[in-house]
Amino acid sequence: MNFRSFSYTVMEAFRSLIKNRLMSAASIITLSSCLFMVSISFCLAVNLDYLMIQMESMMSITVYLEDGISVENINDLIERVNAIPFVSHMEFISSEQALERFKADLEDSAHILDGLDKDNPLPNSLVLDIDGLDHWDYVENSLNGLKEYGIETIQHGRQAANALMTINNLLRIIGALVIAGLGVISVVIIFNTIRIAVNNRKIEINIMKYVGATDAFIRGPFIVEGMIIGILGAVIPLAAVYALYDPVMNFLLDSLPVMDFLFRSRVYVFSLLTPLLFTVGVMIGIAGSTISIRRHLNV
Amino acid sequence: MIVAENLTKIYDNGTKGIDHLSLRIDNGEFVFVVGSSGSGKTTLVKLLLREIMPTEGKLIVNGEDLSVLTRGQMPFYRRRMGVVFQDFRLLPNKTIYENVAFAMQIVGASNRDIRRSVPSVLALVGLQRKAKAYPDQLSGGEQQRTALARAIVGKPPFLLADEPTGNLDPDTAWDIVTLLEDINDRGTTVLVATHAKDIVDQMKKRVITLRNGNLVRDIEKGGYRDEF
Ligand SMILES: Nc1ncnc2c1ncn2[C@@H]1O[C@H](COP(=O)(O)OP(=O)(O)OP(=O)(O)O)[C@@H](O)[C@H]1O
Ligand SMILES: [Mg+2]
Repeated sequence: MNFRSFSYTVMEAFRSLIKNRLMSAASIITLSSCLFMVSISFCLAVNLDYLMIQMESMMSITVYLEDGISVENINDLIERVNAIPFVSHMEFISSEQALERFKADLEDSAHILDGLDKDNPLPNSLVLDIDGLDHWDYVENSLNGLKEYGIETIQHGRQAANALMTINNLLRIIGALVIAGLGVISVVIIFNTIRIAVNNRKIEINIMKYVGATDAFIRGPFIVEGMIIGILGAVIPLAAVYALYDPVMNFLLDSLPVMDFLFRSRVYVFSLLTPLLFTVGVMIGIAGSTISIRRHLNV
Repeated sequence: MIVAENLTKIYDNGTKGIDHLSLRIDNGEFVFVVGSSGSGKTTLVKLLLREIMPTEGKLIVNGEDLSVLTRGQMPFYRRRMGVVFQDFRLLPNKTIYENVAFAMQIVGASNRDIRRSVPSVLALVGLQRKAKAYPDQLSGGEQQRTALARAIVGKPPFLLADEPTGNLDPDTAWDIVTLLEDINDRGTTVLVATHAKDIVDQMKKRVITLRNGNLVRDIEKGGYRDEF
């Protein structure tokens, strides 16, 4: 394609957009709405995943050791626990350290623990971080097998872990359903928009063919038009998300009892969302134009 | 050169548009195709443009058999056929100027050439003052002249005109026919389907008469209804 046809193609695309401005606006609004909903799902998914990662890292199994266990036995047990797969991190907390932490947690009221120093009731413990909730069962079973090596009790956050896993799976399923539903709705709406556009242009395409225009020459402006609709259809939801992201996230942080969790930053979300929306928008735009004129080129 | 051999077009509903027509038109000729309404004139023009395919027989233009033209060759074939359609077929979203310019844009003409050629062709058909109007703002005769301007702006070797004077007053009709004759004098083969008896009679050109899709008369320097 030489520069002349290129400039013709782009000019025609803009002219057609302006000429059929009602139709163009309808397509752009439809696409924007769909992509906006996709953006919301995307923000939710990204942040839920992030939340999950944070929660997983907070969850741990505490193993309390028998009273009066010898140092050799402790070292032996630590070695055996270390050998269990999926234990990503292990910390040994002696009974003295446990008391110190307890005091630190109580802050001003720490004096009520005075006197316990000599007769420390807190046991030695091991705190294990586990590499993924899926491996929780495995690690726990392995620990149960090590009971005879000086384990008093295993304090498992099992129920919490299970609940978390259920929520996680549920959210994933709901997310997938929402996105699938949106996909179907978008396709139906966009298909209908395109069908109307086609009927508006049927005569035009026919005439161009009879006057001797090649398929590529006819298709060019329509494809560029589809691309422009796709780009505008992506820019609008991006702008909306950009404006709304921080206020909404701050509102959620303030109003939800989610203690110390962090949300993904706007910059992070945008670095993923921008290419996604532009790609999807332009692809839908081009696909729409191509489908809409293909039938009518056959004359 | 246009050669038709046993050319037949039967429409989907069984109507015979053209029925075993054989004829030959040499390059540089000026031919009137006459016949009552429904005799097959438009069908012949459509076959020549390959808007429709023959049911039977052959149509050969400058050695090219139209039934074997590929999809890719079609635009280039059509560019050599300037056509004035009976129903004009102007692009409704483009101005008169743009409709004519379009025929040059598709062949990749430069903007300079377009800016030079289009106004002079519009002046030729008397539409220079309507350049910025849209087709639905024009009278039938003005639309017809736009269609003619579009057909000739690319200087095609063939010009097919289906009722080019149908909506025109006698004076303008004569202007158009004189224009067609000029174009023919410059070497373009011209085929005009028409009902305009006066014009055919006075022009003394070759006249082909169709009836029920068949050739019933073919006379050099003839009239609309010469004696047999
Ligand atoms: N698309 C079509 N489907 C079925 N029959 C058709 C079609 N187009 C034309 N015909 C029929 O073919 C015959 C020839 O029609 P055509 O349009 O070629 O006539 P014409 O000579 O151009 O007439 P007119 O002078 O009125 O323009 C007519 O009987 C017409 O009814
Ligand atoms: Mg006709």
